Amino acid sequence: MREGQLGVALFVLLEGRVAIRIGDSVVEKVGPGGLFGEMSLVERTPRLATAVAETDCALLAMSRHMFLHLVKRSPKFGAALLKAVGERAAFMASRRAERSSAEAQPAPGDLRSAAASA
Amino acid sequence: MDTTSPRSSGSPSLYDPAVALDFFQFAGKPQTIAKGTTIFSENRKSMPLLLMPNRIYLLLQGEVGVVVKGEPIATIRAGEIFGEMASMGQMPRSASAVAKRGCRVIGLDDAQFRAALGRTPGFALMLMSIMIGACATPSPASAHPLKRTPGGGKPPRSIRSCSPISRRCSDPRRASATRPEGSS
Repeated sequence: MREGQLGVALFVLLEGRVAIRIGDSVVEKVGPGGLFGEMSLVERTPRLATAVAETDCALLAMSRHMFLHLVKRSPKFGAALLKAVGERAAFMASRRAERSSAEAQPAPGDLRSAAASA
Repeated sequence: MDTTSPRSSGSPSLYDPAVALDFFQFAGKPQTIAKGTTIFSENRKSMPLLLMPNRIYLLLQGEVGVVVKGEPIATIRAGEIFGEMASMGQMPRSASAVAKRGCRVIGLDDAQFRAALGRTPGFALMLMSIMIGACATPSPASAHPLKRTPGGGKPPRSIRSCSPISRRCSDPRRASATRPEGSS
């Protein structure tokens, strides 16, 4: 998926590693069990980042329909997503703040969400 | 018959203030906060994750100022959620929240939040849309009544940029609607 595209699915990474990039900087690495692509799925907004497979990957693609269904059905799924979205949103906000002052460190390790814990 | 009128603007809005109120009331108790009280403080230091019981708040009444490094950057109004990013992401607070006048709020800790989510799982979508709306706002976001200027000016801190429900979307037309539906 590429920054700016309209998102149609989110991805659960089963195997491999995916780098999430915004512009030229890698902001997050996703490992097995992690998900990405959820940010643009909630309200059908353009992709905020680009995802690049760093290794051969096995992915599970989930449609928006299924995603919405799962969130409404499963509080656990919703809670996990909220955590990931909260971390990513906080990161985006701080990144924006940092960029405004100077080109600070682009990808602090604190964004490692549930995904990166592999 | 569906008697609820959809929002007038183009993109479908996931947020429903009535659902938010119901969600918060189910798990938490309204709390009165005196003018001048700091509801939570900015904490830029990293802390052990488990020691951060960051609550998420719904403002029922009053006004809450959002302050970063001593500088006010936004005002939360009745019907709006605040503190959600640090709460959901389990991150340090990136701003302080101070009651600008007497306020009524409901704050939920993690356990309360999960209890409410168990009852109303769909609320997760509303919260996500609030948080994502802040990120999705494109660079020329001068439509914001607040100083959301990625290139300069005040850093858009998480709580400020995310909390006001009525502005949660990147739709600039909505930016002028500072009174959320739940405010009356």
